[in-house]
Amino acid sequence: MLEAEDVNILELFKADDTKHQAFGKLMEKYQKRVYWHVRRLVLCHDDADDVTQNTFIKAWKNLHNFKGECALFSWLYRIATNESITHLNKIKQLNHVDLDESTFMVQRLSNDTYFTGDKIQLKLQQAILQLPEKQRVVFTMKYYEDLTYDQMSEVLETSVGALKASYHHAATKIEDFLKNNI
Amino acid sequence: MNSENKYPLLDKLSADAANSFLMPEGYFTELNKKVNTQLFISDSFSEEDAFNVPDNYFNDLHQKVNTHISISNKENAPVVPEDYFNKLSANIFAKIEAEEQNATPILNTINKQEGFNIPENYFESLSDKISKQTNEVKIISINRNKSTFNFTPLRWAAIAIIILASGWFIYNNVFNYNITKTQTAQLNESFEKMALQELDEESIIDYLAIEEKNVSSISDTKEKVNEEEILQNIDINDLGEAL
Repeated sequence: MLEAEDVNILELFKADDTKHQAFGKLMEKYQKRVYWHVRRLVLCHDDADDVTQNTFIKAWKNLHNFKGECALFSWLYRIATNESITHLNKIKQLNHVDLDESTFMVQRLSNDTYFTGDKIQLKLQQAILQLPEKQRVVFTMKYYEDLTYDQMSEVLETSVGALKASYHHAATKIEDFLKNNI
Repeated sequence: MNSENKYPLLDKLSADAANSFLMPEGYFTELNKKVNTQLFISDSFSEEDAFNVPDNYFNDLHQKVNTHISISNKENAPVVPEDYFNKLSANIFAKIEAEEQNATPILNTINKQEGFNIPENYFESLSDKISKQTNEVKIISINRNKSTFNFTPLRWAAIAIIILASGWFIYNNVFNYNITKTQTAQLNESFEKMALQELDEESIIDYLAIEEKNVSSISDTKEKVNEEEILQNIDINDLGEAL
């Protein structure tokens, strides 16, 4: 179900003379949420900056194809999630990271100027990085962004039951990792 | 009258009657045993001891039967709150979530927002960066619609035209004998001119430089060949006369 404001944005986007205005409204409304969603997945600010920009550029190019079958926020989140995963895979490929991905990424995070977390925060991120890709996304969306399972279901196109199971497994694994490594 | 003959027929029958009713052998002996056995059984097991019932069973029986009847009667069935079953699954999941929360005590103590910072005024500049990029996307797509020429691979365009010209030449020579050789040459010339017009000056200069090299190397080779040919064909007599 589309929000009234989103319907207005989509209408304005159809006309050439109001396209930029519409997109400005869209960015104003969603840029922070998209950025933080991306940041939680890719960790470093510079990576998050790149991915966020890519997300909105893709949204700009494809918004005319959006049929309103889900919330605009879900559609944007889906793009952001896919872009984040693609970006992470590219980093791994460029740096030939095969085995211990979590150690490499945590090292990268600790070198990031815009990360000032303590040892426990780094351990938490390392625990999250050890999760399989889908579980990591589910955990991040639930734990950090406090999305409802229904919202996550729309973004990830997965059933609520599967998401709950996924989160449960993720939280248990993280808890065990923290218990053994702090 | 003699009292003994008062009932003569009966008197006659009584003697027979005594002999008409028989019994098994040793009957009375067996009878005694049977009666004693029956007396023993009846003394050992009283009717009252065979089946017991709880105290006040029959007093409570009536009430129990009535209760069962009222339960089976729908009008008296217990009532549940409205939407109870609709909300039941949500309530159960909420309880599960609460239990999960309790299952991750370490995770619950960690401050979620700690550690991740952003540059000052980041979001203000982000909008500008993205707007700039969307404008560039707009310009590229407009130019693609307006432009009739692809300015980058000019040389490839020239090569394509030359290939077409060659194809035309081959077609005319192999398949179409009606076109005269003069006409063909004229066409080829015009195609070549078109191709040359498309090329930039630098490409033409490079090409001519290469051609010059090739020509000079060919002429060098030709000279050598001519010399050898002359030497081979020369007549010794002629040589002698010359000397």
